[in-house]
Amino acid sequence: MRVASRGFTLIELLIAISLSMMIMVIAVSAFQQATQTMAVMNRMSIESGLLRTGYFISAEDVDFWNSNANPEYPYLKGHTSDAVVNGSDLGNNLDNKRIFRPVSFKKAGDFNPNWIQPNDKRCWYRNYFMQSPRAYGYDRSEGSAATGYQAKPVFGSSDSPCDSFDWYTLPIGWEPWHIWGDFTLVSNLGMKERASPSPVDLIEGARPTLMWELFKELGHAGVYTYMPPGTMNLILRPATNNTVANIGRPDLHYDKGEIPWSLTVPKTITPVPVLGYDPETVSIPSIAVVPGNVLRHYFFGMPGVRGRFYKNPWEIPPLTHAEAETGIGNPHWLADLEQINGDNFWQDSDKGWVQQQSRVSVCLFLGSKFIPTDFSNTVFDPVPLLNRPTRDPWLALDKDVEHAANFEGTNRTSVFWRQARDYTSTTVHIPRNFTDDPAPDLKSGNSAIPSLATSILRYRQKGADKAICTVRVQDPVSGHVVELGYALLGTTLRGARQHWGWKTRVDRPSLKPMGDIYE
Amino acid sequence: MNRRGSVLIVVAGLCSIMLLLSVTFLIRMRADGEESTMLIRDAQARIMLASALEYLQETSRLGWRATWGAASPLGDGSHGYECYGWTDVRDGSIGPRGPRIDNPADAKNGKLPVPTWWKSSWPAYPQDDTVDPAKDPQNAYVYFESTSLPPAGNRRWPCPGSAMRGDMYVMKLAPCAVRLTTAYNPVGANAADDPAPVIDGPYDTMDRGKHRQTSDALMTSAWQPYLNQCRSVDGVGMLDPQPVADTWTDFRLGDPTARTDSTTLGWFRVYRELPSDHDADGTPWFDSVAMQGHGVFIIACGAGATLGYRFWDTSDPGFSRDLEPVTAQESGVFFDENLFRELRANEGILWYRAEWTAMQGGGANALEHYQAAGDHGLDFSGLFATNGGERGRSGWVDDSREKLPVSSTVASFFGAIKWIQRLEKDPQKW
Repeated sequence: MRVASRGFTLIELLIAISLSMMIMVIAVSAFQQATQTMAVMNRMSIESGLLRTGYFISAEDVDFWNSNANPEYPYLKGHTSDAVVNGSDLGNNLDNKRIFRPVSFKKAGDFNPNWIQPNDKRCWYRNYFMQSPRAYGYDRSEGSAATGYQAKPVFGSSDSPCDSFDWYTLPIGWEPWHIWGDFTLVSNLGMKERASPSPVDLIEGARPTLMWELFKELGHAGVYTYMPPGTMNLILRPATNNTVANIGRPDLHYDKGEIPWSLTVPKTITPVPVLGYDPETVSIPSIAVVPGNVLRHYFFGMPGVRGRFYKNPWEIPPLTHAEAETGIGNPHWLADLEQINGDNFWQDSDKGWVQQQSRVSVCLFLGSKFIPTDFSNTVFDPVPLLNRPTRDPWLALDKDVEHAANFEGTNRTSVFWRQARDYTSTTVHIPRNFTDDPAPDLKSGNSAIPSLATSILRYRQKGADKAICTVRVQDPVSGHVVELGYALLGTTLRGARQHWGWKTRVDRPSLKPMGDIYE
Repeated sequence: MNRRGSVLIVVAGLCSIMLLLSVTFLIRMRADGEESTMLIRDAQARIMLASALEYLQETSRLGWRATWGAASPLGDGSHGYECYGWTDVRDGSIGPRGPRIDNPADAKNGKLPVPTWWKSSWPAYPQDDTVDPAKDPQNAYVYFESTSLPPAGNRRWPCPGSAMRGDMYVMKLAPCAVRLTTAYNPVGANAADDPAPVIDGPYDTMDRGKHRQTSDALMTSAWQPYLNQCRSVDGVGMLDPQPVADTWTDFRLGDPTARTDSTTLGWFRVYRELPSDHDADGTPWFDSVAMQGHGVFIIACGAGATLGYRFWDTSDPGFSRDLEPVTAQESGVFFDENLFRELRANEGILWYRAEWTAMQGGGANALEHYQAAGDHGLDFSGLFATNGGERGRSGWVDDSREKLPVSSTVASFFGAIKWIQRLEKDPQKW
């Protein structure tokens, strides 16, 4: 019997097609889901890869200070080691201290920061035994530059029973040592002027000379980086001339064992760099107010023929800035003083006068970048920040913040973020941009690839160089941002200067000289 | 019957594609994982840098006590009990050296001792315990590597020219471990001991003396349980911090056995530089800075499982007994050479240079000189008390606001690290 084969019935066919469709839909949807998942995972993998890459870039940055020193693309930080010459001053100016500029130390001699060892008597601090004059400062939280600031005693409070015996009651014609005694006889023992050192006893001037040279070369950053922890930020001078009779005679170096004179304005142009302590290269004022010292540091008790100081203890405010400059009232001695640790002071309701930043926290920002000077980020002024780290690192902060600016406290305030803005170096690596480009091009790369940027904020606090790093990856399609933040231990500023000294003189001498060399 | 397998083929194809994608995905994930391992190794190595620096700080003063001397857990002042730094702060000599000999029977009573780590078979320690008029006027201490130190190959840590190996792991219980509780309640909370009902007894208005006696007795009895707790049972009394171990011996010894999850992760090696390593003559390659003193070190920071062993055996390039007194092979720790070399190949190593200095600024042990800023006690703020100032006070301890500024004060009892420098390439000596 012939069995006729038959096809599917319509019902069978419908069922088969339905089942097939169902299977296909499931399979395709599964496939689609899988491919989408793969795409997402692939993107996440790319992001993770970029984060890892960013970590390694920033870790290298921590160790080699690329964002602060490397003159090559993309960092382009050659300006941090450039010499700064203003007009015909041949570099004899306060700005010529950028933190990676080349410095030639001596293998033998005073200008070698490595002889500072605690067993070496040259490094012992030879205190000035004369009791400290009461310092006055201007409280910039009250008043303005136009109307003047209120001058207040820096230390202590008015309820002190000893205030009646304070310097502002010094009778006219008297000198401080008339009251306190001539402590110069037992101060700064063994120190001599630079011109007359003994080859046998090198105590005289070795330590202050080194500090002074470090300041001349690298500013605050030099002193804080090369002098060891615990160094007093006072550059002692021989106590050779401590009477008011010599006010106005810079050649006699009236001082109290420190370098009190303006570090802002060099006195003369020095064609040939002078090694050793050379007070002639700084301004020793014959008047209280030194033109150009915009920092307005006045310390009562210092010499100044125009620096007469008037205070009526029964009136508040006792003195204004304008009054001090015109010298009205009873004359007392006032000088234009810019301490190496200089800073202004603010008055706390509980603690009285407290110095900002430098004394409280000893925090030094080490950064340089171009920052916007307007909110629309269209105007950029790099020069002040380039020079601030070495010139007046804390005053730069003080100008920005209110009086209650303590570093630990400002970590948690908007002040810190302003500092972070001003001192953090950022490099957008993908797409390629140079470091601290104020307007990085984020469109030139592959639109499917997330952007990668690294940032680093450096500061020195309590003997440690600290680096706060950030890696930022942003998806150009979704805008999704992944950011890692961390602090790494690594090379200090001095270590970096040693590295770049070796790099530019030994390893790659084709680069311009940077950092440290020992001759 | 003819069957068409089109659906099966399609499904199988899709499955194949998915399998391929999955495999690709897994391979990608594995690659990501491997790359992440590199990152973890770098981070681990940097942790080792911190460990090495802390090791240098602590061993600048501790850890060199003479074991042959009279021992006491409270400190006996024996040779090397508490030292004076890698560069001795007293005379600039090669440290760490212990306190001056305090033994009238000793012919060198009052003199600085020979370091406990200086072996008797080495050349005589270059003594500097007398005032030598011909000495360098700066009290610097210069010696000759060829004659003052043992010959190359015989130098052992911490002799200049030698290296140490620091295998890092977490002990099950560190010596002298204390509990992590930050604030203890000196007495336990036991409701049954509530003294209020006893103390708040009726007041005897007729006889004040009697009442006082009764009250005193009640007070004593009421508070006795708490006093007992404070002394013995539930409370911790006034002993804060509290030891982890219950006995004095256990407290002192701890349990140095490694926690298994902390082993084979990281290590560091420290090489103490010779004067010729930092005389700025260009040899070795990093020698471009003329250092002084005896506190410059090369630190190798490793992340991996070699325990810090550098050489498999004495035939490895660069081998020196100064660097590796016991090789990896001699240690017997590793199964075979291939395993060791594979472990070494998978490690991440960073090299740094660092200088230790005894200078540290204010510390808690210098309270008489380094006063606090503000009115809140010692805070290592970096201020140095002045000698009186305008208020007519005298002495170094003065009002907290009258301070000279001190830079970079480090809160440390063990000196400070003056600088750190990453070395771009292998320094060879490590």
